[in-house]
Parts: sequence; C-alpha cells; structure tokens
Amino acid sequence: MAQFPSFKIGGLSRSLSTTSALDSEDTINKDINQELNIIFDLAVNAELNEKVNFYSELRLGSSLEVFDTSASYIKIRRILLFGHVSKHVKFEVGDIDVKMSPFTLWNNEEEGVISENNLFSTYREIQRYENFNVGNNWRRQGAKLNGTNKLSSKDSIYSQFFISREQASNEISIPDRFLYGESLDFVRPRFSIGVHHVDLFTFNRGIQQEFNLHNHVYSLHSTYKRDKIILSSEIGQSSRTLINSIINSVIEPWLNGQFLNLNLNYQYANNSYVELNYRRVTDDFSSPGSQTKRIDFSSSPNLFSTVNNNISPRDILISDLVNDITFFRQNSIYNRTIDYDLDQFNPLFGLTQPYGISTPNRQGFDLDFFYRDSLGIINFLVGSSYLTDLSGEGTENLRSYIQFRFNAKLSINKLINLNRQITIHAGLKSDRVNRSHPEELFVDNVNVNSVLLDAGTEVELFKKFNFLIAYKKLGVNGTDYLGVRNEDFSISSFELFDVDSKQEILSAGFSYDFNKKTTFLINFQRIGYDNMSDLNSFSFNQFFALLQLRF
Amino acid sequence: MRTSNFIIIFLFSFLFSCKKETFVGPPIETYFGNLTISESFSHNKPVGVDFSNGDTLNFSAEFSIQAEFNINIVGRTSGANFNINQTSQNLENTFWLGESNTIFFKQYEWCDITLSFNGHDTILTDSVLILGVQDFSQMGKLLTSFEDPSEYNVVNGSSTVTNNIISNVNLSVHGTNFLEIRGEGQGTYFGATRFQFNNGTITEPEASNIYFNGFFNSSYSGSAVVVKFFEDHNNNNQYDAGVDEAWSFKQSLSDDNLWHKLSFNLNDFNVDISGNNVLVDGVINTNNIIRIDVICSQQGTAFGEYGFFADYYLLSYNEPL
Repeated sequence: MAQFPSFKIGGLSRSLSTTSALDSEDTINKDINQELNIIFDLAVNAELNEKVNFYSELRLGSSLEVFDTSASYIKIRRILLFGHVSKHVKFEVGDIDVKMSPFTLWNNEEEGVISENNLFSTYREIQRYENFNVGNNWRRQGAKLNGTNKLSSKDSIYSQFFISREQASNEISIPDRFLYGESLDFVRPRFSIGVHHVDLFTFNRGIQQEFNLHNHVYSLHSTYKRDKIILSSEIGQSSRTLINSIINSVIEPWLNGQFLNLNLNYQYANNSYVELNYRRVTDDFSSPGSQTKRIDFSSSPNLFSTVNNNISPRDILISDLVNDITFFRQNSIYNRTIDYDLDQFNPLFGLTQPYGISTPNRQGFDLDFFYRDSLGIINFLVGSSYLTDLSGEGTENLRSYIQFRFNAKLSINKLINLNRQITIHAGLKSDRVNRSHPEELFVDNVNVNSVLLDAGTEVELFKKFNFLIAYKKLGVNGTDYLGVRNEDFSISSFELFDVDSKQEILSAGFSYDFNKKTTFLINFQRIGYDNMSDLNSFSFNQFFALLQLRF
Repeated sequence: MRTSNFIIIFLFSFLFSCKKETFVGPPIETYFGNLTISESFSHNKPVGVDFSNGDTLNFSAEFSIQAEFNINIVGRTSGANFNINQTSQNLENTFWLGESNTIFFKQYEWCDITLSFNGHDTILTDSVLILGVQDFSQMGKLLTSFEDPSEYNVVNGSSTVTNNIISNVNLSVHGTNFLEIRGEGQGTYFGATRFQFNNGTITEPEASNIYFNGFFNSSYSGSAVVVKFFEDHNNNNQYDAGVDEAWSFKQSLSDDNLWHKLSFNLNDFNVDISGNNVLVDGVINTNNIIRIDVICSQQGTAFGEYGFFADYYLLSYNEPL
C-alpha cells in the first residue's frame, strides 16, 4: 500500500464592503469610493513524510464592484516547506518568519496604537494579516535552521541561522541584496547568555558596480532570574562599510555605532509587573533589521490621495494605518522592504522613538507599571520615558523627550456581576520634546507637544449582539528641526518641522457573533483632519460591513 | 575577579564610551538662524550676456545661513521668465544659460532679476542685458520658426479662413514671424503646416527620447492642435495611405490669449487608422518618418471658429524644450 501524506485544512474567509465619501465641499476630485471585496484563504498543512512538512495558503479573491469573473483571482499567499534535518535541527524553506532582538532584527509595531476596542482592533488585525506582520517577525523569502541541543537536564543551547534574498538584481545596475543572521544561546534555568549577528549586504556579481555594502549588527545579551526579578542586558555594535569586491578590501572606514540596553523586571503578582529600562544608542547605530519601518510613509494613501478639490496631496493619517485596507499587496502603505538608510517617518506620529527602541541617538530610562487583577476586571499599564539625545544635533544642547503613557481595559460586567458584557477601553500617550538654543543663534527653541487619545466601549445589548463606539485623536503642535541623513548615515542638513494639527476618528457600530468563529461587524466613522499651520482641513465619512469566518 | 564583576565593569565602561565630543550634523544656525547678506547680490556680465556664444550668467552672493532662495528673471519686452530654486549658503553654483519657463527671451532685451528667500522678507535685485539668445535648435531638429518659408508648406482645408504669417517682433516668440491659422465650421481640419524630409532625417532612434515642441496662443474656445507623423515603410519617399503608418496626438488649447509652450513625447502618439490609414507594425520607426503635419483642429465637432497663433516648432531629443 502506498503511503499517502496526511493533510490538515484550515483558513478564513472575509467579505469587506467599504463606502467612503469626502465632505460636501470637496467635489472636484473623486469624492466617493466604494469597494466590495471577498477573499477566501485556504491553508493546507501536509505531512509529506517523517521529515518534511508542507504548508501553504491559497487565496481565492474577488472584487465585487463588477459582476463578472474578470475581477476574480487566485494567488498563493504563502508556501513553506519545514521539518527536521536531524533530531536536533529543524529547517524551514520558503516564506519564513524571522526575528531576533529589538536591536538586531525586529519588526516594530506601527504607530497609533494604545488601547483599541474591536472597532479599531478588528481592522488593524486585518491590516497585519494582509501585510504578513505576525508579532514582531519579518516575513521573508529564504531558508532558516533552528537547532536545540540539551547539554544536561538543565542546560540547553539554541541556535538559529537564516538567509533571505531581499532584492533581485536587474543584471545591469541593481545588485542582489541578501540578509542573513545567526544566533547562539546558552540557556540555564536562571541564566542565559547569547550572541546575535545580522548582515544586510549587496552582491554585485554580474553588474557594473565594484562595491558591496555591508551592514553588520552584533550583540551580546544575557538574562539573570532570581525569584520574581529578571535582569537582562543587551550590548552591541553596528558596522557598515563599502567593500571593493574586486580587491576584496574595505575602501571606506567602517562606520561603527553602539548600543546598550539594561532591563529590570519585577513581577510583584501574577501577571503584574514593574519594569525599568535603561538604553543608550549612538547616533551612528545602523540596524536595518530593527530600524526599518512597518509603514512606508513615503507612499500615498489609497483612499482620497488628494483633497481640497485636488489641491492638497494627503499624507498618511492615523486612520489609514487602521482602515486603508487593500487586498493587493502592491497598493499597500505597509512596507516589506528591509533596506539600508533610515526610512522616512511621519513626525506627527511621534518623535520620541520613531524607530522603536533602537532609534539612533537616544539615551534614558523607561519605567512601566502593569497590573491585572485575578478576576480579569481591570488591567492597566502606566508608564513613562525620559530620554535625551546622546549627541547634540546641530548644536551642543540635547533634546529631551518625555513620554507618558497609559492604557486600561475595564470589564464593567465583571465588576457589577452582569451577564451581558460591558467593556471600556481607554488610552493616552503624551509626548513632549524640548531643546533650548542660545539667543545669539536666532533659532527658535525646539518645543513639540503631542497627545494621542484612544477611547472606546462595547456593550452587549442582546446575546452576542454588541454596540461599539470608539474615538481616537492625535494632536500635535510645535517646532523641531529633523536631521536629514546622507547615504553614509551621517546628518547632512535639517528639515523644519513646524506644525499645529489634529486628526481624529469617531466610529460607532454593531457586531454580531454567530459563533466563536463567525462574526459580522458594521460601523460608520467620521475622520477629520485640521492643520492650523497651512490652513489645510478636510473630513470624510466611511461605512464598513465586514463578515469574517474562520474554520 | 569574578565573572559578574567583569561583566558589570564592561557594561559601565561601555556606558560612558560612546558619546561624541561634539554635536553631529552642521550647525543648526546655518539653516534656521538670522539671515544676513555677507556678499551683495550681483552677476559676472555687467555689460551684457551673449547666450548665442555659449555664455553663462553666473550669480554671486553669500548669506549667513543655508537659505532656500528663488531667483526670478523677467524679460522687460517679451515678458518671458525663468526661475531658479535652490538651497545654499551662497550662489557659487547658481547660473543661467538663457533658458525660459515658457516663451523665449529676446535679443537686446533687459531683464530684471530678483533674489528672494523662503520665509524671509529680504529681496535683492539686479538686471542684465541679453546680447544674444540661446540657440535651442541644437537640442534636436528645428522644424521652423516661421522666418524661412522654404522650411514648411502651407496646407489649407475647405474650412480654412486664415493660414498666414504675421510679422511682429514684439508679438512673436522667436524672431519676427509667427503663424496665424484659423478656420470655421464643424469639422476637425482647418488647415495645417507641413514639413517634408527624407528617410533618416530624424537621427534619434528611440521614439521615447523625441519630443515635439511648439508655442501656441489661442483665443478661440474649443481649439486644438493635432500633430501627425507619417512613416515611409515602402521606401518610395512618400506617404501612401493603406501601406504606410501614421501617428497622431491631439492637444486641446487654452483660450487665454497667452503663449504656451507645449511638448509631446512621441511615445504618447497613437496609430492613426482614420480614413484609409492602417496599422502596419504598431511601432514608431523614427528613421522612417518623412512628414510631419501640425494641424489646426477643434476638441469636438461643434460648429464654430477655431484657431491659434503658433511659433517655433522643434523636435528635441532626450528632453523637452
């Protein structure tokens, strides 16, 4: 008898209808947008033999704006071969997920999230799913090996190696670009120590370019646990240079940047902790794997990319990060390219750490206090960061960055013992950036204030039938001078950031859970943007109907 | 020494070793400080500049900051203008070769030059006399500037009212003469200017690198210009409808009675299959082009009066005029 592979099938289906309308004063450009998309993702997990498994996601989709089959399509979302090379080594080939530490290889969360209820989080999950953002992993195409060796009953060694092709050569002027990395960790119950290394490099064989760019990041990290205290540290260096591929020698001095991160976590109760973090990242620390942004802020939003009767191109708003959903990757504002050089960021979304914890030229402390009660009535996080520039930018004086953050979720029904679910979400993030200049410079001081507010509630009106309302607002005002970096990562000039703007989303809707795996959500929302600096303001309304099914 | 002590010393030595002694980037005040002019605004041609000789007008000035500046040059007679926008602390690399935004500057014309700064009130002025204008025909093939009637043929249609040359140095874009073409009716052909030449006259092989450029001025609402290229596929040095291939591009014109410079890339032209014309290979073979017609037309098919003034038809290679 032939041995047939065993299969498991799962997946999800979504139907999303969106109707968007610009306000009545905005009439010349396209002011109504309607989309209706249905997708069906079929996941197949096949055990081909003892050593090799196969996983794939097949998408059947259709845009139902036109009632014929020309708008239907089939495509492969993911293919992965995985299994065991030996007893201790696993392999993955295809669309792999990779991450290391927040300073070496890390897909930082997109901006604008503090505490969202289902009205926002449902669409944000779709964005992340559509753009392959699983946790802090980067989805790459390549190969990965994971090793686990038990040295004794308590001690283990974990190892990882991966390589991916980031860019294909055009055989004329664009070289191949590869990313590879390896890590080795020795783990004991109370202590661990390990090393990480990542290199993003060009490979110019076959094209007219003599130089290859390498960007290495090395780190050494360790963890020590005692009772409820966890001490961890990570220290490392980035090194980037051009190497002449003909004579195989470095033609420019290596640009070295360093970082240090110390963390103390005290778990004072089950699921509750206090965390103190200190970090120091130099201005020339270059880590493409951890500094690449999840959002491509140089792109334009798909919806109403110009406003005010075609006069003003529209930047990406906080609502676009949640709701500008496209089922076609090439149109997405979400980025998947890991490249040299710091990505463009939108200063409206925060200046404190636009590239996450590995943002260059920062030093300072973060303190977070998290509490979750045993009955699940409330959980909240209160935190604050006090950071400064490590080196002055354009002046000896250092900017200071003070951030306060708070998010909470309160289950009223558990508090007053109700059968119907009533939940309140609330969040606030406030940033203040300051730097004073001597009067003789005749340069205005840096002074930027921003507030991101997130609030929402869900009320179960009937069994499994919920009313939801949510509000999000981002207000920013002030002046800063943003460093513009050269190809060699150094700051060559400054760009004035002078703004007084606010943007907000007010959304309300209903959801019905047919069962745990099937939900229906309809909501209406109004999005407003006001920029008092250049008198640019606009608003638009959106209506969504979303049916989701998992199986 | 215990390992833990070593690690602590290592971490703390790292802690204080990374900070730079000085600040990074250029001084902030050189970008956003007080603007003062340390060297006054002037240029290197106080007697006059002859662009026909390849002269360059070099500007000079020096400021206290990296300023975003604008130099605006306006011809007193022609009204032609040219803008230079740059960011710098001086005008070391700022020059003018005689080019214009729309219509041309004229010979022996005085030009007013204004230097202004974005975000600052400071305005500095100067002037220059143009002794000779730039010869743009070097950019490709000059079809005509309507100074020499042998360069073109006048083709009239049944609805043509006027298809003549007007001589007025103050009104023309280039030289003395310009074309007036006008018609009346509900058709789309009110006459044309025709250029005929041999195979291989157009030397640029890539259609995407060729631009038809011309200056047009209309006061008739709904007017349009159609440019047609004719290929000679059968090498008999003439266009045979049904055998050879023709390409056309239509552009509506503003009726604001002002000169506008228009540039059409050959890649944007479509195969003309009207009348007896046919599709041959669907590829513009630039070497085969033997005729160009610039036609007075209208946007639709309504009865009315349509027309324009035109001057300086140029085929430029690699970039538009």
